[in-house]
Amino acid sequence: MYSINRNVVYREVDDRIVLINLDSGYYYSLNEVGRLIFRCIVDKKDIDNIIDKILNEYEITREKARNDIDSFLSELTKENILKEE
Amino acid sequence: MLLRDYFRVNNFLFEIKTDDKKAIDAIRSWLDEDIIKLHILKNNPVEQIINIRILSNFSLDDIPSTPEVSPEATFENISFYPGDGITIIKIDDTIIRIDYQSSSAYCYVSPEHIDSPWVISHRIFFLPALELLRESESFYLHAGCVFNGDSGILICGGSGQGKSTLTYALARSGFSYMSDDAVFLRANGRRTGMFSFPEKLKLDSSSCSFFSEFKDLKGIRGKKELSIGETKIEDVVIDGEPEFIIFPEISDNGSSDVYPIPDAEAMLLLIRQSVSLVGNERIGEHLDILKTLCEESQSYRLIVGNNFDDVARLIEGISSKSPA
Repeated sequence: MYSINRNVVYREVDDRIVLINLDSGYYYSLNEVGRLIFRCIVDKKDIDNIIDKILNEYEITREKARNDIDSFLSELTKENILKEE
Repeated sequence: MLLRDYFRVNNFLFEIKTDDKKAIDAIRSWLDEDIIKLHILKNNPVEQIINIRILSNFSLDDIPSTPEVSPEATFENISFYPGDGITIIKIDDTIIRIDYQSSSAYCYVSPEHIDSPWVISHRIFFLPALELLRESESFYLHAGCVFNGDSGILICGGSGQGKSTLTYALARSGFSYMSDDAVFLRANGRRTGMFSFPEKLKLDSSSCSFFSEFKDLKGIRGKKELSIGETKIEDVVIDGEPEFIIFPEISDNGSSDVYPIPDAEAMLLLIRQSVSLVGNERIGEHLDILKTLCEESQSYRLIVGNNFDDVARLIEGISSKSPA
């Protein structure tokens, strides 16, 4: 399970999420897919739930979805936006 | 003995007390008296008095000690130490203590800074002013602003991206002028309101070279501060509502163009020119106001070419249409 670092603030704008990491001062914009995954993290969904959500929206294989989600989450973890619990 | 000075900005009354007249002279020479008069004439009710005390004669015992921790943020030679209800700002040997509860700041100014009008106005006065205005829910945006009728057009970009030049070019071609560098955003019911900060217009040598009235200033070092009376600006607005946000970029080939950009891209660009990462308590509100601003305005990237008449026509074209 992942959760959002408490020093991250974010707002949804259009179909994106704009977020700021107050620890680093860096800010980011997540695209539509990123927003879908990020919302799942906010709702405390586990990886399998996130994969199901993605498969409902996009025509890709489960394996490809898992790989893409894993790499996205590890990128956000590296940026201290998420932490793994 | 302390000298006092006062000036009004929108709903705020600034009270400056100092033991050195140079501090008042520096701040007054940075402000535009004509724009301050408009703020007085508007006669908005005073909602908050912001006290800024600038002291150059003090004993070392008076100075609050800098916390024995790393600063939370540093910018150029400025360090910020946010604490519980206060922030300490250290600029070289100058120490500023901001107390949010009482809307006041004590600035203990080092001898090297008291003789520098630029440091006094832009750092020792303006930094605590920004912090205290934010506490009163007025959020700084590093942007110029002109109006086409009632439609506010924010011109947003970093230093050196041509904000002042473009703002002045538009203002002398008939748009109403608000500011070339600093506006404050405020929730105004369900919309975003904004008001000017009454700084003088600032143009550097290369900006001056575009305008015949400033041809004598070509070759000046640094920036020349100009009051409205010294320019070709005919109309000044001190508050209103933004409807358009322009992000200027200097053209590679001399020609001008304008195209819309999505709200999320605009918001990222605004954050860069707006959000202070110090004293994070109000950051949520700050983001909310930027989000509302992006959603209720139309945002454009403006490629600024050589001919300011063309640029003015492009801005006239987009700002004459009603926002969707």
